[in-house]
Amino acid sequence: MSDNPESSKTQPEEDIIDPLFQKDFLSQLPQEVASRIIVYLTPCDLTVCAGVSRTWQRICEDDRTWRQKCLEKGYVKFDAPSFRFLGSWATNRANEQVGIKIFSHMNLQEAHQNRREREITYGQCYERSPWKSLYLRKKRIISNWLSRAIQSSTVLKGRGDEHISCLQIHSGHIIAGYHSKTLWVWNVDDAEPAFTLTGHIGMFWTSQMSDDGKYIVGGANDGMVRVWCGQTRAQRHVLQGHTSEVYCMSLHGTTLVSGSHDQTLRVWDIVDGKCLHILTGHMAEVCCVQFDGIRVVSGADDFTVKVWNVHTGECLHTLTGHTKPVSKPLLFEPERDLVVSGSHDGTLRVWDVQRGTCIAILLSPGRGWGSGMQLRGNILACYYDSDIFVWDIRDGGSCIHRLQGVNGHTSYITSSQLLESGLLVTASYDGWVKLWDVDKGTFVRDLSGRIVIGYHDNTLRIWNVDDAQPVFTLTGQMGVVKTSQVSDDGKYIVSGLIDRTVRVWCGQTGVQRHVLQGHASMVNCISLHGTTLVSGSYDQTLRVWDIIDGKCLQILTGDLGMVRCVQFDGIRVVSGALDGTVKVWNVQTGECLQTLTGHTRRVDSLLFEPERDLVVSRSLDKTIRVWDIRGGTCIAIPISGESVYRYRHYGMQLRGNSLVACYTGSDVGVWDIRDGGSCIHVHLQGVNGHALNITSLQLLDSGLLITSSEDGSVKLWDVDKGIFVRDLVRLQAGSWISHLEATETFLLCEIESEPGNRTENTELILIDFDASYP
Amino acid sequence: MADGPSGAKKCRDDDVLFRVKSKEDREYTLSKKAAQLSGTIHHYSENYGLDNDEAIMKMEPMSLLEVSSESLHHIIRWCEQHRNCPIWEEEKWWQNERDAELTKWEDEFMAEMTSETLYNLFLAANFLDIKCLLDKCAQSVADMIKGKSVDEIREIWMLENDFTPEEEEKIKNENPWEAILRYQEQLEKEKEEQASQPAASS
Repeated sequence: MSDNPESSKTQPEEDIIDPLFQKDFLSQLPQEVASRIIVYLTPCDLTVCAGVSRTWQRICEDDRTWRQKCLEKGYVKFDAPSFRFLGSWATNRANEQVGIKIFSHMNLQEAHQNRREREITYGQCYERSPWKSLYLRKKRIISNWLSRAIQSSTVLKGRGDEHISCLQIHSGHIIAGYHSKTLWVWNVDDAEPAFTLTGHIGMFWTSQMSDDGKYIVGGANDGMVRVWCGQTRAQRHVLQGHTSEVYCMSLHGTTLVSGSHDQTLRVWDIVDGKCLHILTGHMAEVCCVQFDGIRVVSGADDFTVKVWNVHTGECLHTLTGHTKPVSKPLLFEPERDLVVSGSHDGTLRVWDVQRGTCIAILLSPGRGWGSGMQLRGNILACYYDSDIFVWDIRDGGSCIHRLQGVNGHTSYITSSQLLESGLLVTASYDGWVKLWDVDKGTFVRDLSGRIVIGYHDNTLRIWNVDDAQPVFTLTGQMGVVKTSQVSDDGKYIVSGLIDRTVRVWCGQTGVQRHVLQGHASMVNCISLHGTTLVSGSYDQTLRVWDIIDGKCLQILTGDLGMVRCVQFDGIRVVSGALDGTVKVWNVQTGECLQTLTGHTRRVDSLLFEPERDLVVSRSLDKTIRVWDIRGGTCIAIPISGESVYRYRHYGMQLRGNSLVACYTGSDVGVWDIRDGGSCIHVHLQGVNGHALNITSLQLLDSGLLITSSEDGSVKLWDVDKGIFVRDLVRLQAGSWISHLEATETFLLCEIESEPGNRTENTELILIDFDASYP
Repeated sequence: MADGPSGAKKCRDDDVLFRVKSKEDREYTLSKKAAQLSGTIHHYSENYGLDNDEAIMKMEPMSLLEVSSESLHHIIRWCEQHRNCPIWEEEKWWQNERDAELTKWEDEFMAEMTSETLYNLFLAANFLDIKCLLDKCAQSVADMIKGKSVDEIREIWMLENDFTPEEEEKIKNENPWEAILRYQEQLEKEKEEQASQPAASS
């Protein structure tokens, strides 16, 4: 009774299967020989064989073989399943919420039965072979995604009346940042809030932290400069002297220069709180200052820029030319003696402060310059409204690019978040949310577009995945959260902020550990590996920090551009910049290993796969580029043609050689990055496709792709086969999914009513796809 | 000697011959290159200074006390066929690409084996430490097992089910493939039932 063995051999194996003379190879051969045989069996066959006899079970549950099977599939160990019938999980089913349709949802009784099965979290199989049990569990989870009824879902109770700026699931926690300067944390186990982080807010014009993290200085509108201890946050000194508002400051080492509306600059020693010099000479309010430790450059409402010697207090140069007051961003590049000043006269002037001459005048389109001005080599980039201007400061300053239009930048990134699986979500003022994978060090995808408002509501909320309740909310005298991440062990939560700081919280208690200061402009992106953090900023530097002691270990700088995105694998840092370049750095030496050029517009997102030296970058120039960072070459450009880009930061994910990205409103493309990036499946669309724009997508290791759309549905696709699998969620008209997060076992959806409606609620629903260990 | 299939190259002209002796004290010869495929022979020749042609020509036959004449005959056929192959990568097995002709030869070679000869060949290959043959044998045995149910396996190999009914139940529940299959069958059934009733869904 032999069915056809799955073999393409020329001679069928039936010939040699003669029951009477069959040798029991597995039991009779030496064990090391038997283990050679089982390597060739599929996991399914191995599972069958383990049910034949005790001897076969022992042989077929060789843990090393199963480990190999897991690794081949990319299955790695993850947390034991929790019961998830406590707290909000017990009563709260998202399905019962008005307007949310979750397809084939189990009833409560079934779900309870299912959860009960998990009570034996480690079955006997786990004792015999942990890797086999892991494999089987993964297999079950995949089938939960693919076809089985959805067991449980819940709505997270948070601040429904406010917009979320960032969101993540990580190590049993869900973390969300709200716009009210709070960070909420929920426990996944009971879907209940764990804690909320808030803090006081000061009215400071300017603040800065010393490079060593020991001091925080703040200049306030009462004319005082306050110095705090960076560790304890105790106030050390109140520096009194200015007779009007302190409007600008520059700290170098422990020497601080403050500029005030009282027309003077003061030089302070922040250790003993003494005033070292008073720099007088400006005829009007001082509005900007830069200081390199020796020279002070200041701009004032008297239309002049002055250069001072900080040791003598002497004015070295008075640079005249502006016809209106000098405005706040002032660039100072001490190495090249270059200063760039902006003015209300609608010009930018580039100065040689050694000789005291103006070397370029850049005409700007209007008055009042944003704070994004940055110089990289001879290229100067600057914002005006939502447009970006790029100049070459040589030959008098010619404008090279004006970056604008439908794909143009609309606003800053506001916040971010890290998930259990190492996913990082970043959110932006322009409504764009992105997702990153920090374990692999890669960009995962873009999540959604939402209307995000409220510059003064700078919070992060964290929910607990196991009980779906907010855990804590993080805030603390901070600017808008641009990006955040949770360490792999869940011990630290790190955020990059628009106020130029990076903040480190304790992931368990939500207590603020460090405020990392040093960046001269807003922190756009962070990437955490172990306890080493790399932050990228518009100040054209990357900083490497130790988040345990809060020290800055390294500053990566030089020809870097304004950093939009960064990825870090513990050794190498990949950064993507506003000017379209992608750079690879050695974090130990601070050396730039590669400069990858090709993109013509800003790079918005990066994927980094260190094992294969692969980097994928996505740019506003409508292309995705795949790079071999060892050779420094572009190996594929998968996207071509028109892109709709209603949502600016569409996601992309790489799995093996398949790259998944959204490229028009409701289409998802799948490319093979080999042979230059040929398209495998152009449209994951058809009758089952999304009716409206896709807001976010996520690719799981198992080849499942989850997409959410403005049409209010969440759909599941099989990327390998290029087919639609099933609908997971549908909302009633008027609601939409603004973004989703998915891990192998959870789906988290952020639901909003009416795109663009600021006052409507934001709901989070959490769906559980976990399975027990067999 | 009935050596290899008709397509096999004449392989012995250009090489000195290595002498081996089976369990039954029958003497066989194989080319030096073919002999080197065996880790055991390779070790032996290193230990006994058989590193040059002259020494090999003068050698006494190497006694392979664990290998029967029949197995040794098959092993020599295998080794001669594979003597020009690149070194078998055991760890990086996916690098072991073989040309179609050789694969065909290997399949025919294995197809000739009865269960008993395959078993002995397997043991002999293990004793002589011939990696490529070991893997081929393993693959052949695995192919016999693949796709069969527990009952079929027990019948073919005459194995006794020594699990208790409770254990058997647990093992069944462990199998996710079966669970998925069951679930899908159930779904199909429900669908059919739904289809047979007058449709009234929104």
